[in-house]
Amino acid sequence: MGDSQYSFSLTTFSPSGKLVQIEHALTAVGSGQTSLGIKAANGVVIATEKKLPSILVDEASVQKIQCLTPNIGVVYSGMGPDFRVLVRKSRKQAEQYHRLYKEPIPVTQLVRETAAVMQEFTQSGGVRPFGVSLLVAGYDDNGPQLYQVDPSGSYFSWKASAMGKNVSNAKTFLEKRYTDDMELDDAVHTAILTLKEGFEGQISGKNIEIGIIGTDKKFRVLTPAEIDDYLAEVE
Amino acid sequence: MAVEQANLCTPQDAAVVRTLRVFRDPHVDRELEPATVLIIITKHVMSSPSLNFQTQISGLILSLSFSGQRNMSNSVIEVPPKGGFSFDLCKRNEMLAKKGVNPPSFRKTGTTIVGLVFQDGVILGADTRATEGPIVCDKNCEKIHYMAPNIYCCGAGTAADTEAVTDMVSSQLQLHRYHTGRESRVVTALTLLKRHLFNYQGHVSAALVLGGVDVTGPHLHTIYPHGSTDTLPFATMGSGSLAAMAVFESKYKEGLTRNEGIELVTEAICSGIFNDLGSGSNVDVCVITKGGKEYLRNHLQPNPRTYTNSKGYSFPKKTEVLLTKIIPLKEKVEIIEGGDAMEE
Repeated sequence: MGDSQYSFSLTTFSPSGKLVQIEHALTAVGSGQTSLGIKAANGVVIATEKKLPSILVDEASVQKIQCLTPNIGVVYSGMGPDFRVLVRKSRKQAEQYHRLYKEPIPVTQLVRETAAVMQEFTQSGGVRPFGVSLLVAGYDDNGPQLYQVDPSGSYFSWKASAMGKNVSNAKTFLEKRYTDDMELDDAVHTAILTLKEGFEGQISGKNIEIGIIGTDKKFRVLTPAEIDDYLAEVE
Repeated sequence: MAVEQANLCTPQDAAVVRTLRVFRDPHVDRELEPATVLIIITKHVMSSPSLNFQTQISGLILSLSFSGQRNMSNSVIEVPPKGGFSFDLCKRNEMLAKKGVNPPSFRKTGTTIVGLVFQDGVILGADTRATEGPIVCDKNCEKIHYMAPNIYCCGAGTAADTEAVTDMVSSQLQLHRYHTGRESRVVTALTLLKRHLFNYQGHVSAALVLGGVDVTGPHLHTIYPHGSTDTLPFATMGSGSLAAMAVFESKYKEGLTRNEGIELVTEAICSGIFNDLGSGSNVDVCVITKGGKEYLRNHLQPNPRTYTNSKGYSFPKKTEVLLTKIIPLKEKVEIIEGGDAMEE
């Protein structure tokens, strides 16, 4: 198609009305490791595979789920280095908001500002879009919330969502299993089962990462021991 | 210079002109500016209360004219530079100070803040009076500011400065904690604060007592408005610092227990409260140990409000209430029924 002529420059639209670089960025996301999030009635859970390139890598040093504020956490699919940059910027924005208004930043505001940063990189010269999609989980005055932010800068609120490899299978599984009145523990079990669906090899507390936030409004990443407990319950 | 052409009506005017001539500094190779002349004249007016002199002086000012004939290249009217601070008037200020015309001095705000290291950690103490010159504007303000879960900071000086600086560094420490995943260290807070204060060359008037417990142990530091710091086992700052330091110097010893430490801090603050006009009201104490912190707000209240009239106070009513029902004199609005006013 004539698209290929327009695929190198980010700031030029193709004749079909697409920005081809963003499509490519989404492809990069789609080849990243699976991650998913589920919003329960009393909390949110986000999870991801933590497949390391070799058994020699120190898996305790790799942390894919990060905390942005005490009550907001984030996970990604795609390029890790891009994720680190976004996390740093988001943390700074959350802190600036807090300094100005003396209130913890609402989840929607933080998502909006992160999405604005990602959009900036789709309209500036000499830069490329971020090769990550984020799943932001938070609990504020509006209750538990789960947002997905794409490389284009668009964001959506989801009840349950998945990204990365195996996304269609994961989403179908979630659609079947999701109920509106799920509790947080049920949501964790569902997340583990969904990850298990497309998992190659033996799933354990060391090769997946789970982050939860409940009514206490404190985001935390589960320890491998806790994940193993949940895994035992699932089987 | 055109002041020679001024209308010399009285001997006082001649005195002013003589002063002006003296002030024309040969080292500064530019004309005396209108601002400088005004300062000198005002000083003379202030020192002489007679009205006559003042009216003569106003006549003198009006007849002053600065001719631009001599130096067209250095125009007297200054266009403000495009950006940055203009240091032109600093030389003038220096010259005036040398001749004895000093700028107004700043008001020192009053406070007593103290800190000491005891066997398990650090105890900070502060009074709770905030002053605006001779007036107490807040009888129970909070001078012990949060920096990190394990670090607190007492602030003396301009309240806005201490609050803004501690807030800003607290924010920076929070970001640092996210990035490193570790507890903040007291020296980190210390360095961030002193760098900021040094950059502003003492204009941010914040004198701080910083204390906390981190992985390396308990620490106590003082930070001065110009950016210098001290590390001490016990420290005091503020206008009541001498009174508090007297107590510390006589009673401090190493290895105090928690209760002994709190008692000593309270005594030191009370000494500041009762002997310094700038400090007063209640005592706030904050105990920081490895396990956590205890913020004892209003730990001691040695200045309660006594002798209030139990019957309350009745103030005689001065304004008469004329009518309790308000009847409009005329209906102001006429309602037009039907028709669409926005049709066209």
